[in-house]
Amino acid sequence: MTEENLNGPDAAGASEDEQLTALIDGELSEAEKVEIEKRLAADPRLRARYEKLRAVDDFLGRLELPSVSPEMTTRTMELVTGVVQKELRAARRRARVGAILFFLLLAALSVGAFVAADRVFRGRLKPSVDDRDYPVFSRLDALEAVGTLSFLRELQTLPAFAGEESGPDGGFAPPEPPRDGRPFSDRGPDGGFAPPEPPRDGRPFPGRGPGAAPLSAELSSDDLLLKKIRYTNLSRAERKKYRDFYDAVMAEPDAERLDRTLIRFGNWFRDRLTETERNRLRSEPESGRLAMVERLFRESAGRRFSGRPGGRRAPFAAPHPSRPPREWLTEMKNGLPEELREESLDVRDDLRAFTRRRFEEGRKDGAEPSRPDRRILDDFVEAQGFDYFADRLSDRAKEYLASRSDEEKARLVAQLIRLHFFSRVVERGPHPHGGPDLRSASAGSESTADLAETLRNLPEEEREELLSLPDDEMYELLLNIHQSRERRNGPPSRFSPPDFPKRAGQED
Amino acid sequence: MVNEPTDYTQDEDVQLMLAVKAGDAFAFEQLVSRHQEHVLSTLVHFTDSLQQAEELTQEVFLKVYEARLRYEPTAKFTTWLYRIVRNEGLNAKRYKKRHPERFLNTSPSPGDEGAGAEENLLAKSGYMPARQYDAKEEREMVHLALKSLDPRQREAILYQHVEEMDYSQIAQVMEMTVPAVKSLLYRARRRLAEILTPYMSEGRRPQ
Repeated sequence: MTEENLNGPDAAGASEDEQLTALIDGELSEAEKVEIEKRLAADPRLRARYEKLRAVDDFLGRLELPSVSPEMTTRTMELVTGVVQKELRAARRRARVGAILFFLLLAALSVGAFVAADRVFRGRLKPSVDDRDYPVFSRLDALEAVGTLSFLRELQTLPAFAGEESGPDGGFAPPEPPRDGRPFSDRGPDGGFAPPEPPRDGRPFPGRGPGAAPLSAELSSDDLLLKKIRYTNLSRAERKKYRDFYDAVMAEPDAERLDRTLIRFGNWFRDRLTETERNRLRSEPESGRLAMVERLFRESAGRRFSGRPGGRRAPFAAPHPSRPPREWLTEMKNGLPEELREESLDVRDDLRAFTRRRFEEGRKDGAEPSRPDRRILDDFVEAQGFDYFADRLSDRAKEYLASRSDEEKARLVAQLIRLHFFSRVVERGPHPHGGPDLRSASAGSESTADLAETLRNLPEEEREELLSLPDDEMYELLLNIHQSRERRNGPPSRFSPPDFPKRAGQED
Repeated sequence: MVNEPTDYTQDEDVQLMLAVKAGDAFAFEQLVSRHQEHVLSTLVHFTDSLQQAEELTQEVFLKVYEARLRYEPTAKFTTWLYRIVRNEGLNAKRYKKRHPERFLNTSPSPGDEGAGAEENLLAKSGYMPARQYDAKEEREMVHLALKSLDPRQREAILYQHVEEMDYSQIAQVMEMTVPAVKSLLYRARRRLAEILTPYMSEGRRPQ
């Protein structure tokens, strides 16, 4: 090795000098260090190069570090403080946004969970014919009321529940009035406009059939839902009891017929009976239950089955048409021939005298007075003769009526009398003593048959007193009595107690 | 052979940095105090401007602070710190190269008198009596000798002498292999020896 090695060494010299540099820097392994130290001891020129490099290294130790100004640390920390504040502001902003997002998410999740739960709940509860127990819970009332197959068989012996197929309402609801304003029939207790009264013996209306409508059409979705909820809340044993009962019915050879009986009885039990009556029937031993059903059926036959305050709407029959009085009056007018529509036949005084006379006669004979219903009007028309009425009519009406048969003449005259009577009541407005306002749309849902029924059921003294009143007052008072009887849970009529003392055992 | 991962958490700087990560501002101030002088020294050699080096030093510590949450003690703290320093220094250098007009009035750093380092060094040594140089002159000579080195050689020498890094640390910071660092340092030493030996031994201008 020569001095030139440091200024321009060959490859071997460069490698040696690298090792010397590494020795100075303390980067050699122990073995390398021993090896190079041996060579240094043996080779003075190598040692000289080593010393030279070492001297350079020592000289580099004189390298001066630039002095840091005293404010530099402060300035650096101020910068950092700025960063910290910026980070804090960003963190606060992120926290605010995070909180808002969190609450929005929470709200969305809550709403979503509620909607999902609601859907699941409704979906599970929504009654469907696909439900396994649909036939059971939809007949729950009936199954509950009938209780056993043997009693169901007994019920089949009653004509009302026999189980024949048939009409839209089981035959018990009065027919709906014709929509075109025509009367129910040519004749009738009221000129044909009042619905026929139901047969007194509990049979269905003739020609309307005793069958029941299909169950699915009878119940509203709300009814079904309530039934399903009630069924679901029953104990497992109770549910099994009803399922077994239904299965037993279906296993019978005449299952369809039995099912109709079941449905019809269930509908009657639910819609025609009061809660008290239902409880009585439930607690009655099976031996006497059929007799009780017969009795209750007779009692409930004349009862209104719809529109009763607090009562349930019968699902198997349309209610009586509930029309405002004015509409009713217009319909009455439209039901008349054009020649008679403007006529006003005021025979109140003579009609009242005729009615009173008829009752006097009835009382004298000691017999039941004639029914004070619309039929008395027919008698009055017949008794007076056509000329009596012709004198009170216009020439045009007279001419028209002269061309009609006697029977039709009588019907039309009776209708004109009724028209006049109701016109006065409707036009006059509310009674000064607080009677119902017949001009309002809510009043006037009572049918004439209902009023006649109420009048018929009055005690004799009350009925007589009522009939002695002017006819418009009589009508209004009768309406009040009727309505107060209908309102089982409502306040009693203000007319009823003082004017007509109750008989012992009378319900209202 | 599987190398056991080194536990750097015993390193005092690493502990301070972990404290900074945990939110200890005082620990950060300590770190700044401990390292700012060396960082500044390194950056002076990158930028040739004390003022710019100071600004960069502050930037470096700002970056350290901003990166505190991402800090993991996978190496010595100085290795991590000087990677940042190097990036800042190289960025500044590149910026200076692209925008030379902005640095025309930069005040010269100590020993930077404009002309080539070697000529300066030779000029200075020429008018000094042999072996009568004082400490100040020696420092100036060292500075001028370093200026005469290739930037990478100078950088490696600085890491070794200022930061007392070993070859492996230097290799990590400069993203080189250890043998490459060894070779680089040897070449730097040989160059320095060429420049400084005449001055050190005889106080005369080299041939």
